[in-house]
Amino acid sequence: MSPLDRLPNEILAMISSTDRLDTRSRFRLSQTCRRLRSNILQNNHTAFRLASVAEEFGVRLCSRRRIFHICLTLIALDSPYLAVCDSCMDIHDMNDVMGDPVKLPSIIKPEQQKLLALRPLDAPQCCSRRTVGAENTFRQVRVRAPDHLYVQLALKYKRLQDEDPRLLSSIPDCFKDCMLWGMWPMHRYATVPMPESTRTVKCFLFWEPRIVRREDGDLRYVVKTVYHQQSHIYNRDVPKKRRMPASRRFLRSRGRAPTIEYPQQPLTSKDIIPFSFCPHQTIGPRYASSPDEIAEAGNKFSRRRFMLQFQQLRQTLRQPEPSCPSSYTNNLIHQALSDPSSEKQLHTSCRHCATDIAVRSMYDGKTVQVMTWRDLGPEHSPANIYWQSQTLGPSQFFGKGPSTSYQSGYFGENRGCVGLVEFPLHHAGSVRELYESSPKGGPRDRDLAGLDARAQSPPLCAA
Amino acid sequence: MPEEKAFDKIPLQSNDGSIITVDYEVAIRSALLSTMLDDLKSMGVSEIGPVPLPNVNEAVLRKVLEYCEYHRNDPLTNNEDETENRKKTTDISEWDQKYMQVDQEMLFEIILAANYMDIKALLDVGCKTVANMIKGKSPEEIRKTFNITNDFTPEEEEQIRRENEWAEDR
Repeated sequence: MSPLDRLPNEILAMISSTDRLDTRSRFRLSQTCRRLRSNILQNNHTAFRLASVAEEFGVRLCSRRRIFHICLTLIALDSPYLAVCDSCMDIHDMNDVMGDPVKLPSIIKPEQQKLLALRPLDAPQCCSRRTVGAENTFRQVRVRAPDHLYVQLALKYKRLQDEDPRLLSSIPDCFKDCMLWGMWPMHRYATVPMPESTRTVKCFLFWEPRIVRREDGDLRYVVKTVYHQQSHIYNRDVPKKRRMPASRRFLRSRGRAPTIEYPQQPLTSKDIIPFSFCPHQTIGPRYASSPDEIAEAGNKFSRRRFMLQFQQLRQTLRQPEPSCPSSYTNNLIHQALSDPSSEKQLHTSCRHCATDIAVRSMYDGKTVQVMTWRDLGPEHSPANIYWQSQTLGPSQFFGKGPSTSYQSGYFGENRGCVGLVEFPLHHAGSVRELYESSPKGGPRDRDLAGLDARAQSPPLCAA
Repeated sequence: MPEEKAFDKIPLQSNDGSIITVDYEVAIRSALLSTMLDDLKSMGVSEIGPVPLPNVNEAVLRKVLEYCEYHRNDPLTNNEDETENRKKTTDISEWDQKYMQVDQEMLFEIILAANYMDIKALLDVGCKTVANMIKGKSPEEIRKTFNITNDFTPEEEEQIRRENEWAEDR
């Protein structure tokens, strides 16, 4: 006879509760004998029960793993201590994370891939193994893709705080910082990319997320991105002797010599630095030139120019399809730059995700500004279509990735152009309207006033 | 102001008839005894005879009282929040870990006694210890550890195999 048989059901429930056993161990315990199975399924293992019920009712469209994940999310819904990890498909107790879970993440640099781990080192093992790819790469800084765990925690804590502020008072501040972590990949970066063909352009990026409440009461995580590209002062057309002699600097410091004004040239579509502002759209120079234009360019042979033109030609020919969502936005940029004096905002939206886009040229065409508003979705598992459509799909995950991620059927350069799951149409401008309906500052200013100091100095990771 | 003690020594009688006398501070670690002593005090009883504990044998009672003796100065908490906090922390103190290094039969006896005598802290430590024995083991290893007989039907085995597809297959 097993000693466990002598224990009453309530003690078995205590042993197998989420406070003491992780989901996987409870699951394995439930597989040992019928009594434990019925006890654990009744008391704790709601996810499997719900998933079984869902399957019995013929939910065939989604994978069973996806249903299971949704059920785990339901279990963790109202507990500030539980978080569902989309990497290992498990519930983690925040108390299992030793130390401060929001300290700087580890940086993992495999030789070739140069990926960043978003999780702290002492997070549960499954978490620390997962690495998430960058959405965009600047010269020095990668702008990381939003992380599901932190976005969900931010949404959950915001909801719990609205429902009952006392509930969150018992949580250590470091857990509340997860709200900040939800925004952590989205701070201000500025750098100067220096590839050969785009030496003259300076990039500037600013992300500001807000948690906003829709009319139906749902909280949404919406991110505004402002992306500037401007003609940079250190122009290759400027004579090389830029540096002033010491005597002139001395005179200038005393106001006896005028400052030399270097010419800034207006941008053209070919100067645009490639940049993705949602998984389906990229702006860049390859949309600016036709193959004929490239073939005709230049009479004098230069190996460097030849290679450059060859690359441009290859990129142009590789352009996936005329109906590629990027084409329209790139045309808008072209329009904006061709009429620089108007400084009018031109609007569009992505048809594959909830993203609104506004483009305008500024300062006589010397700067182009692209603003996007992205709806990362409600509090939900990664199976949510809003979340899936805003992430990079399977390519985002390396190693152990969830099979629930966005399954794109297209493997061209604009990965995710053609999704197997059709995204529900959103009204163009609705995401921007939603974002602007929230008071300025969003969760960072109103709820995390004390954490602003940390927000001001985001951790930068060099490539 | 400290509460006035009604009794100095409390005799406890195990189910095999042996009587162990303990201090009042030790006895009130058990919510069962604490409530009983409070009731007796309010009824004006000044002398107390051996308190029978029919579900606990002498060896287990001594072991349980050893725990109560060590923790006699810990604050008594009826506060739900603190109980919740204790549940949330998964670590066991060093002394408690050594205390729980007993054979499996004794471990489960202690848990049952703690449940009967309503010693929440001890019950919590016992449950954590068993949970730690389960963590990281496969179903077969758990069966082996606790001598559990596999009584699943082939259909249930098939259902378990399908569950494995959801949770174990990564």
